[in-house]
Amino acid sequence: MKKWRILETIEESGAKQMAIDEAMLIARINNLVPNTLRFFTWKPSAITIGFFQDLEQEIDLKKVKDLKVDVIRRYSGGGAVFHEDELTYSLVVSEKDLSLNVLDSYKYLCQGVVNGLKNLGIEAEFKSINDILVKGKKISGNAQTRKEGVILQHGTILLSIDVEKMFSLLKISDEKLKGKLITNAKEGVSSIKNELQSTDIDLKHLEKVFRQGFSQSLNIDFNEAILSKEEKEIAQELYENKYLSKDWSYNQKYNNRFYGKN
Amino acid sequence: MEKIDYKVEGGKFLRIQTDIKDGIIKDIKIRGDFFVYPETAIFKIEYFLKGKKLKSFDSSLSLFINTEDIKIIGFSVADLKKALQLGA
Repeated sequence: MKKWRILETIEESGAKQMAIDEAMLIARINNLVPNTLRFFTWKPSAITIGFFQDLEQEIDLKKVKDLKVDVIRRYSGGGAVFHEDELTYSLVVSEKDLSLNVLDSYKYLCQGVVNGLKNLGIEAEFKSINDILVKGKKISGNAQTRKEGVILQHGTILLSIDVEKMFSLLKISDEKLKGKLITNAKEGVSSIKNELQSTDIDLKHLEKVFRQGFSQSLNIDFNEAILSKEEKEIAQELYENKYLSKDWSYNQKYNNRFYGKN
Repeated sequence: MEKIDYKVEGGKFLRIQTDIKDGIIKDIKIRGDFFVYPETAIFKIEYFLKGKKLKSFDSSLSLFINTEDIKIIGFSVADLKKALQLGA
């Protein structure tokens, strides 16, 4: 069975987490690390927006400030996501080890989450392009970027969701529409706590079942590890100079010296 | 710049800012919750579209996307054209 690395689960700010995800990607490109999976949580709560989204068009920046929610632009595309009570996973895998096009690889990689949910007793299914549904309701959103032969995919696994809070942070010009969107979202989104009818969820247990889920779907074993020295250094630079910068948040601008060497 | 929001059926949400005069795309920013690989190719696409005719940009854009090996998930060139025509 092939071996991947699994990193210890850490709770950090969104800017740090996104910097670590990209540092893993860069380290994998440079063959400094093997294929890797990790789980993480967010403190403080954060909104991430996709690479292609216009920050000022999507986010109510005053509300975000009032509620002390971080805002970070992801390296991956996709939509705005409110991260609060969730377990997030990210993984890096070489395209040599996973030779699937983007759409097929979403389905393949998301199966780890589907299996993890199944291990919890929740029947879920992948829905193209990048969602996982339970009885037709979204419980996980996923996004993927690819650089220099390596895939980085990250995704949410909702533990619970405060739909009103989420929508208060998003800019929706039409107030009438906002009410409808909130109703739709309440009907269209589920979470682990909701499905299990329990608020008593042990994070360690969740990590274990989702780790198993990925192990089953990818047919791999895991070696437990921590971030390498190089990854920590790259993550620190990306955190300070990219993910905290306005140039990146507002204009997708960052002169990244880490790519184009291979 | 005019703003056009367009939900692609079975796809993603396009939020376009554009300046179209006399059927010519003078300026354009294509934003939304889609995916483009590689990501920076979106800026190449925007640059390519500047100066192109609204009614006939689609075949040359499709060729450009193929030549540059750009992958778009969540909208097609035809969807982009539809969205722009709604705004025009």
